[in-house]
Amino acid sequence: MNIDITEFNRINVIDTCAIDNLLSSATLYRAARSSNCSFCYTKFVEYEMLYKNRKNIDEKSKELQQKLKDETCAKRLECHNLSIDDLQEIEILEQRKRLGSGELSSIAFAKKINQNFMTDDSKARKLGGLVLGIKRVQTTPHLVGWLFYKRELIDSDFSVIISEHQNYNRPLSQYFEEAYLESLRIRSMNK
Amino acid sequence: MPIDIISLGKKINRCRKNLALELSDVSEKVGISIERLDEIERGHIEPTGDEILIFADFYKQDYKYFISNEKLSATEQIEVLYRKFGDDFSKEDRWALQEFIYLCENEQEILNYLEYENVNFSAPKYPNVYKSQGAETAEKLRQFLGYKNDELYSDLFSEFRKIGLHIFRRRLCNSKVSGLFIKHPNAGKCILVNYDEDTYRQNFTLSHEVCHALLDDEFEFSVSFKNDNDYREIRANNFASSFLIPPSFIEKLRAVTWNEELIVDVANQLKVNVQTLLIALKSNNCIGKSQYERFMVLKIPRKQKEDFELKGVSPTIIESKKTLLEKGLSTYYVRNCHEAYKNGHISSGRLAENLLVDESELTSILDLFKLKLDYEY
Repeated sequence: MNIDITEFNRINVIDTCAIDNLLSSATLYRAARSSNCSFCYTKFVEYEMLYKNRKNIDEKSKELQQKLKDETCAKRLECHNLSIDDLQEIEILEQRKRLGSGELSSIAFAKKINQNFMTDDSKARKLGGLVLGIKRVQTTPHLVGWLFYKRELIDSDFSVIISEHQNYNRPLSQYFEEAYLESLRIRSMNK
Repeated sequence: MPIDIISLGKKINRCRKNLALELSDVSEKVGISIERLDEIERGHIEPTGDEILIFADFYKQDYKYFISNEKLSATEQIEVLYRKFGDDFSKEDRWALQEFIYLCENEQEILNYLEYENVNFSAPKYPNVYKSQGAETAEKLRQFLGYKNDELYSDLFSEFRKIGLHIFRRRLCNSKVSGLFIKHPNAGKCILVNYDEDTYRQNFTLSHEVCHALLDDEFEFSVSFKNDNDYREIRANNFASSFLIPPSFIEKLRAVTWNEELIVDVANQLKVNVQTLLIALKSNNCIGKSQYERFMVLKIPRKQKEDFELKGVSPTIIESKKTLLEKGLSTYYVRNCHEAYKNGHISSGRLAENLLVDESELTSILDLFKLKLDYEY
C-alpha cells in the first residue's frame, strides 16, 4: 500500500480495532494529541468496546476498555451518535453486508461530518475508500510514520512504542516499523 | 425516507419476544436503559442510527430490516413457528435458531460475492403425499448428482450444498427437535440439524430435512420432532433412508449371510445407525423378522461414528473444530467467509461478525484452518 506519510488528516473517526491500536501505546497517543490530532468514535463502537459479549476478554483488553472510558470522561475522546438518516445513505446501505457494524458506523459518521475514517483493516480501508475517497481513510501505522516524519516522535520513541504495543498483544509492530523506516528514508532524501 | 417509528418499535419488540428476553436482559447487554428501550419498542421515540446498528447486531438482523419495508428477515416466520411450537424451544435454543438464520443469510451473501453457482435440481411435484415419493425423489437426486449404482458419498453435506441448500448444525440443548427447514425470504432454503444427536442420526436428520426442502417447499417452515408420524414426516424418512442406503447398494447385499459384525461394518460404511440399516434391509426382504430382532440390540459407540465434516481432521484440533461445528461454523462456511475476505469483498470486522466472534478471537479460529488475516502499512 502506498501511503504518503508526509501528510496526515488530523481529525479522525476511529473504529474499534484502531482505538485499541492507538491506545495501546501511551507514547504514540500522547504525540498524536500534542500534534493536534483529534479522534472520535461512534456509539456503536462504544457498544462494541464496552458492552458486546466478548467471551475471552483478557486483562490487557480490560485495560484498553478502561483507557477508553478515562479518555472519554476527560473529553479527550468524544463519542457521537449517527441518525437513522445517516444509515439510509445509499452508499452506506450498499456496504452494509461487507463491513463490520463498527466500521460502517464510523464511515457513516465520517461522511456526515466530512472528516476522515481511521481503521487498521486493509479491506475496510479499501471499502471505506469507496464511500469517502481513499485519501480520507487512514491507518495507525500511517499516523506513526507521519509523527516520526514530523519529529513529533524521535528515534528513541520507536522501541518504546513497539514495546507498549506488544504489551497489549496488538498486531501492528511490523507495520509500525515499516512506517518508521519510511520516515527515515524520506527524511534522509530531504537532507 | 421518513421512519414509521411505530412499525420500527414493533419489529424490535418482535425480535426480543422471539428470543424470550426481558427488557432488562437486553438493557444489560447493549448499554441502553430499560426506559429508553421500552419507549423505542412502544414507538414513542425514534432510536439513533447507532442504536439501530446495536439492535441489528444484538438480534442478528440486517439493519435495513428495521428501517425499510422490505421483507429481509425471517423474523415473521420465526414468530409463527414459535406460536405453533414455542414450548419446544428453550431460551438457549431460540438463540441458536436466530444465529442459524443469521449464518444462512451471511452464507448466501458470501456465495453471491464469490459468484458461486448452484446446480438447479427440480424436485418432482406431487399432488398428494405418498411414502414412496421419498424413495423416487432420492433416486432422482442421486442420479442428478452423478452417483452411479451403489456408489456412496464422500461428504453428504457438500452434496446437498451443491443444490443450493444452506446447511448448519447447532447444538439444541433442551429441544425435542431433531431438525428444521425454513424458507428464508432472501437466503432461500435453510436446514438446521440438531448437533446434540449422534453423528449418524444427524446424517439421517439432514437427509430428512432435505426432503422437506425439496418436496414441502410450499410451506414456510417445517419442524421435525423425534418420533413424528405425520405423512410428510414418513415420506421424508423414506427419502432419507433411500438416499443414505441406496436400493442398488442393498441389491448387492442380497446374497450376504448376515452376522453382528457385518451389520455394524455395513452401518459404519453407510454412516447410518444400525436401526436405520435394519429397517431398510427388512423392508427389502434381505433379513427376516428374527434377524431383525436379534440385530436390533446392536449399537455403534458414539466415538466410532465418523463425521463427514471432520474426516481427516488432525486429532490435535478435532475438539476445537467440534466446538465450532456445534456453533454452526462448518469448514465450508469458514473457508468461504475467509475467501470473501481475502478477495476484498468483506472486511475483517465483517468476517468476525460472520463467524460470531469479536475481532480479538478471529485469529485463533482462523489458525484452526491455517488461514490468516491481512494487515498492511
